[in-house]
Amino acid sequence: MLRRLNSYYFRTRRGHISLVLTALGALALALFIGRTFVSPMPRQYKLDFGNAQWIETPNSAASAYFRKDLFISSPVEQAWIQFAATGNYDMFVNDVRVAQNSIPSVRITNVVDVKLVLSQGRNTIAVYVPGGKFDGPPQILVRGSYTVAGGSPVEFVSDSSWKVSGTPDGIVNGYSWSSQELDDTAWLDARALPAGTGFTSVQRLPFDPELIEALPSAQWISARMPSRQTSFLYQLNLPDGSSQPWLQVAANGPYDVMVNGTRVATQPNPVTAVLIGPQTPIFLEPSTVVTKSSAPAATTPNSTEPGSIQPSANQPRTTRPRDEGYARRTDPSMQSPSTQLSVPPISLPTAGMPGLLSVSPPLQPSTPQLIPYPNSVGVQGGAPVLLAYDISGWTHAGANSIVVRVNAVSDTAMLLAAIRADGPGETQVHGTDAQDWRTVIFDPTGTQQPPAIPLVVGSYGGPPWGPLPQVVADPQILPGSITRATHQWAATIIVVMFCVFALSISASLICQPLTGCTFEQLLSYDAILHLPMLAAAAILQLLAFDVRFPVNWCYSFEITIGLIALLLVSKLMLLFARPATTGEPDLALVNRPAGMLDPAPYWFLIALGVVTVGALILRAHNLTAFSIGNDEGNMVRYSRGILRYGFPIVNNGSFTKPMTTYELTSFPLALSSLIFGHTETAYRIPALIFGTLTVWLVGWAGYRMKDWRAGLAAATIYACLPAPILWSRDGFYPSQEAFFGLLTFWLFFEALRTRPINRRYMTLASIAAVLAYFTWEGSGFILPTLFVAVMVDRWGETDWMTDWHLWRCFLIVAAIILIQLCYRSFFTLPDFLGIVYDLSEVTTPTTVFLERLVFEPGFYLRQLLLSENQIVLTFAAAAGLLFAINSRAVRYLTVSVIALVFFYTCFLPHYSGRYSFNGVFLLTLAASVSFFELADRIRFADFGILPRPGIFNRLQWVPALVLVLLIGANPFLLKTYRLSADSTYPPYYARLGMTFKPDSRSSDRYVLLHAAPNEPIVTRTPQIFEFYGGKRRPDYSADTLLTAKMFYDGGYSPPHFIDKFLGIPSIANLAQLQDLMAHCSRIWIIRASSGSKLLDSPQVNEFLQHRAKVVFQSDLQEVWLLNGLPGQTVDGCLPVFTRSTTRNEPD
Amino acid sequence: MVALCVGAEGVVKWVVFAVLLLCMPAVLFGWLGCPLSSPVHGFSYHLLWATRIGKHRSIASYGMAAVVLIALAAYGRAIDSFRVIFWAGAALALLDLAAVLQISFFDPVLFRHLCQEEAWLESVASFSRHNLLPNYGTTPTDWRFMPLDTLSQRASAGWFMMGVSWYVVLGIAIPCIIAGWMFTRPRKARMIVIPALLALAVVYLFIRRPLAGEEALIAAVRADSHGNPAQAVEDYRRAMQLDQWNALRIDLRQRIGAIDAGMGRTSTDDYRIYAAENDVDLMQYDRAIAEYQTLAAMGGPVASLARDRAVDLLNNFGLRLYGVGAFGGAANAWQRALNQDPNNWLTAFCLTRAYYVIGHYDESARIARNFLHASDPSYVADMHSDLGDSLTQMGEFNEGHISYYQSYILDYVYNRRGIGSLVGQ
Repeated sequence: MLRRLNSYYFRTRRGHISLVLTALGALALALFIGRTFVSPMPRQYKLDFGNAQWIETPNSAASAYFRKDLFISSPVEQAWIQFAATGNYDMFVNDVRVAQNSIPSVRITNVVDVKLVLSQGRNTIAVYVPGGKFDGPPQILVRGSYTVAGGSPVEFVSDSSWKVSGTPDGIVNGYSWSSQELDDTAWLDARALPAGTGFTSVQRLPFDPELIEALPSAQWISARMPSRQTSFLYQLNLPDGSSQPWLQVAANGPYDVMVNGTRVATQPNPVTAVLIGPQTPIFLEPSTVVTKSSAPAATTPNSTEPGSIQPSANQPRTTRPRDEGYARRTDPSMQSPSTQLSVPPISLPTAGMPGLLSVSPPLQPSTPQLIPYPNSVGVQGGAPVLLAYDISGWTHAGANSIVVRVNAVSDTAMLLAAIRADGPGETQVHGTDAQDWRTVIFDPTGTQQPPAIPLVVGSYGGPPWGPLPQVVADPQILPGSITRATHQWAATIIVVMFCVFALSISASLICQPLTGCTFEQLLSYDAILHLPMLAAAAILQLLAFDVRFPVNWCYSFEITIGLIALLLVSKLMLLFARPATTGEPDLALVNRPAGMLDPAPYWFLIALGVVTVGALILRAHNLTAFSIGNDEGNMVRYSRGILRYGFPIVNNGSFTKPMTTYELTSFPLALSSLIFGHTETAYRIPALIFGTLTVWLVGWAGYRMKDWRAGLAAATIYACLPAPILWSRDGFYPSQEAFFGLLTFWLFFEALRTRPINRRYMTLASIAAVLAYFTWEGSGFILPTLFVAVMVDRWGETDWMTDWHLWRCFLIVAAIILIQLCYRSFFTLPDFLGIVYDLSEVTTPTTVFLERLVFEPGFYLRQLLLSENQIVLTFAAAAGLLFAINSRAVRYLTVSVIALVFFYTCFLPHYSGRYSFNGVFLLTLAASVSFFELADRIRFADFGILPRPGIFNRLQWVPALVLVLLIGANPFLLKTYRLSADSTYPPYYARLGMTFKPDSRSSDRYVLLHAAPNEPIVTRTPQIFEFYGGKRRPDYSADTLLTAKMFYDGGYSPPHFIDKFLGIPSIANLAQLQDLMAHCSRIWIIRASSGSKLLDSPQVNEFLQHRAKVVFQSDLQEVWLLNGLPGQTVDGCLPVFTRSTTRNEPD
Repeated sequence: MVALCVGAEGVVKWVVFAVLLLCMPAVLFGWLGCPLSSPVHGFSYHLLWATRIGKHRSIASYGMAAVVLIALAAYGRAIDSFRVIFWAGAALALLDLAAVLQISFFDPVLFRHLCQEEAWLESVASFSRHNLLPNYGTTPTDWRFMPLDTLSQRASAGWFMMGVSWYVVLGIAIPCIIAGWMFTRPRKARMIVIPALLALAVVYLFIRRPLAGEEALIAAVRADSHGNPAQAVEDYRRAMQLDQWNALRIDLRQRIGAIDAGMGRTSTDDYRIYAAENDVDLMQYDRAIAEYQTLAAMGGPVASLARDRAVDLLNNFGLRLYGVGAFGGAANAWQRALNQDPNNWLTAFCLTRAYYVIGHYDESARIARNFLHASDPSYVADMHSDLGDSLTQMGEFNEGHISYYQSYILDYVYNRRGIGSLVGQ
């Protein structure tokens, strides 16, 4: 029979599809069975916040700084804090950073051990929750506890007794906002929310909070004979029903952990506590210990020379702690995850101690950072860390052997360990002791010694190390673990696949005499019966990626059995199968769009209209919720030039600058502002219109390329995707370019449909391509993409190459592109007048893949294909590419997406998330068309069988799968942030409910309200300030990191650098800022909060940190007030800026 | 237009033929993306046997094999044999697979050298970030997230090291396979089965011994933990024999040394490594370095490993001294390191900076000039900035200006040092 199947059935199209469907069903089932029974995911733990309440600022501030003082009477034995925050947080205890994390649009949680940073007396818990990372006000939920010696635990929770402020109201050059010394009586009381609100996306923890919160009941043990290498043995008996055992280990040297003979964890270096930050202890000599902040910040006589700065400890740390261990990384043999984190203290040579050159005191100790990573936590240098490992993957019910092999560096090996396991009804805890644990030490002769009773050295919390920091270890990937996992999964998949195929064949054989159908017909029908189970599995799996569900929620016994039952039940439908009397349908006629000139069905147009109107409402809602952005501000300026001169042109400083890129973008803006006035709404109406029209066009193109189903599905999906919605509320080019880009792709497809190529459509496609190009020059890559598409579309055919009209259109478009490039070269300000290479240099395609500094092959894959809800579309398009490649539309669309990503990645000399926006409609169309193409293929494979009752008819499963596609790609229904390549940093405009652009409107208006006329205003985005400021313009721009283009303006007196947006003087270093201070009483500085440290030089950052104060914060934006010192001048700085009054008038 | 004259089909055919021929020289070189140096010359690197680091030429190389296969594909196109094109494409794909596997598992010395260079590059970036004006124009890299503990991690790292030729070959192989598959009539099952089996065979050939080495390593740790030192040592040695990568790992030597210590064997090389690493943990850097230098001087199988480790420790020591402002001591440590390993790019970079801050501008400039031929533009740009700083201090302003200019030209991506120096900020 198998031979017959192989030689005949599996070689037919119907056989192929049956094979693929059954295999897919088996794979889905294998995933659930594997995750449920073979390799379960870590259990998720819900935090118990008790009586804690969500708290927020009462005055609706964009960001929130929370403080809570605790007065502790005795030394602390144990203390922990559970907390949840909206999107992002920085937590400090007594001015030490103990935790930080960011997952926008999600209520993130954590538990931290804070016993080492709490002390007797006044203590302060401080939490900063920046705005813009969550759809709603910044909130926190806290429950903490501390236990003093001999006392009972004292709990504290978030409530209205907490203090809150919208700005970090510390003391300039004094106490920071998170310091326990700060007097916060002037701060507002927090507003407590009613219980039960805002819990929708509160995340669960992948570890048991008790590992942090409970004191381990264990003792330090060692071998009775002094030995530097000792194995500690324990026999762990787990009753049936136990789950997720954890092993906590602290040792005085490197160690390996073996469970049932398998190594589950290893620490090749002593795991000790180290404070990261300026308070890091440095052991200069055995008796001399200093901290980084108290160590002399050595400078040299040349420290002010170009290219050198003070090697101060107080530089901002923008990198992860693992960067600290760079010295260790030089040895690849030592590169295990643990070795990358350690920063052991150093000893200087006793002889010939190098002299410290010209010692100067440090500027100011900044906040130390206590980062809770295994090798970088704690404040007591050298204290071991109690690390918790999940050993559930290696244990089983019954007796388990636990071995911890400790290799002490210079002393007798010692161990403190505890095992926690949730048993049925109770939690088992087994700590190291002399009763149940055993030790094995080396015999110098090499013979194995029998296990011996250990010696109890001391109890937990006693000398020499006292209470230990409790940390949960990251999962380790050890040699052999991947091989083991591979074997497990391979075995699971093979077994499940065998069972599913055997079941299908058996069921078909059994039903054959009962139904009168042939065996092959039944096999085909049986394959289709896997689809309900596939749809259910897909939905369940998608929900697991939704942040509102636990990540492993669907891998339960009940659900897996349910899926198996669904599969089995569906086999019963084979009994109702009857041979069909109809023949094979004509694929070319079924559901294809009507002829090119025939109108579409009116109901389709009505439905598409409804979707388009819905899209318009979605986009128009909150149209002006976000402030004008950097690029929008620029477009606005050029559009005003159109109204004034008839051409997009601006006066920047002494330069008159015609627009040389995005030329077509500013014309609709000008028209709109002419009609509706100089308002935010007016400048966004064009984007709104183009965005809405694109939705309609997506639907229409889907209809033309496949059928009404694909059209409606594509339009619905595109209408709801975050990026199209958010770009439709932004006056910059993407919406307009996407419309013309889509028009080009669709018209080109239509042109290719006929033989010879349809001239009218080709001409229209060329016009659309030119319009797209003038909207954004990167659209030029559409041209080679279309070339690739036509090559693939007409694979093996060459007649199109002899089409003269095609070449004529190509030459005209190419000529226009070349003319525009020449025009740009002529009218762009010459390079010798500016400094810094930036976006405005992006002109012609270059071989980016040869530029090691720039090339990033995965950038657009992450931005476009692996971005949250779009991943579902990527899967659908990929399935089409694999299984429906002979469909012209599928081939055209999927190849276009791939080619576009390829060209942008390899030839566009700059990477930006928005560049791939014109791939979104292609991806949507590719997914929809592929999906329905596949659906049709499956449907036709079903032919030959007519199930009598009509249940599981060949059409009825389609809506279920359509729902999977629509729901999976819809951010309003599923928040599948876990699907994203990096859920903590979503691509630009890829997630609803968070702010991507700084709220310049609020900060600019604040400054306008508070700044006196003679007080200078410094902003990096002066064109936005000009938009909101009306007659008042900013006085200076600032770019102290020299990261954006600046031009040298000889027309000023004295000549100096100006910014590229508005042409006002630009502050380029600390000396110039200090010089400004010398002439003004107060300076207002507007800067981005999230990246401010990256946007300004370290010196300026440090200076502002200590001399200025944040007086206002909005989403991703801050206003700093710097008090000047009129009358004092700084030697060696540039001449005082003279305000421009002549050439640089507002347009 | 040409198509109009000579027939479109013929044009396509000969364009494809010409493109394939043009690709042939492009795949001869550049199979490895060496982070800093160019240790492998000639026709890229050897096929199936260990590669020497340094200049050499060999016909039995991946580059040459790729050229032959591309020529075969071109020939297939010329005679309209899509079957030939398909098999040439499949062979090219297998060649690419073998190249990654050879680097990852068959050539540990070269692999270690490449990893070391990448780590140096990361360290240079880190040093700049912490001690100099920020230069954010470092190469976009995922290296820091690439551990090397397991076979799959090593395979990923090996792929990370592949150069442009590898991608060109892949770019040729995939269309050849697709075109060959689509136009070959009749299609045979062996067109899938044979390449798949060959791919499995290639993978097996390369990972057989490393896989066995991994098993031996696991057995060794298990024996060690259960107090069976003799068995553990035997297994550790077996792991090193099976996979030479293990023989280059300090931590395994350290584990054997610990067992030696327990058994009173204090004259073995492994014990010395163990003792030296203990000194490192006890912050006795000078003693550890001296121990490694003694080991290196004694020769033997661990001599080169010990020398590299000593240099690493000296580098490490210098970085820490520099971090607390002991620039003189740092310069001294780095000078010692450079004496032992004159090709250490990290040491050279740090030393130019250390000599600059203690006022030895001529020395700083001399070393900087010697290391301007690195392949990484950001490294060279930083070196040019260092050179410019020293020349400026020496009063050679024209030369200094040229160095700053070179720095900015080479690395224009947020190279604050280069641009800041150039415009006098």
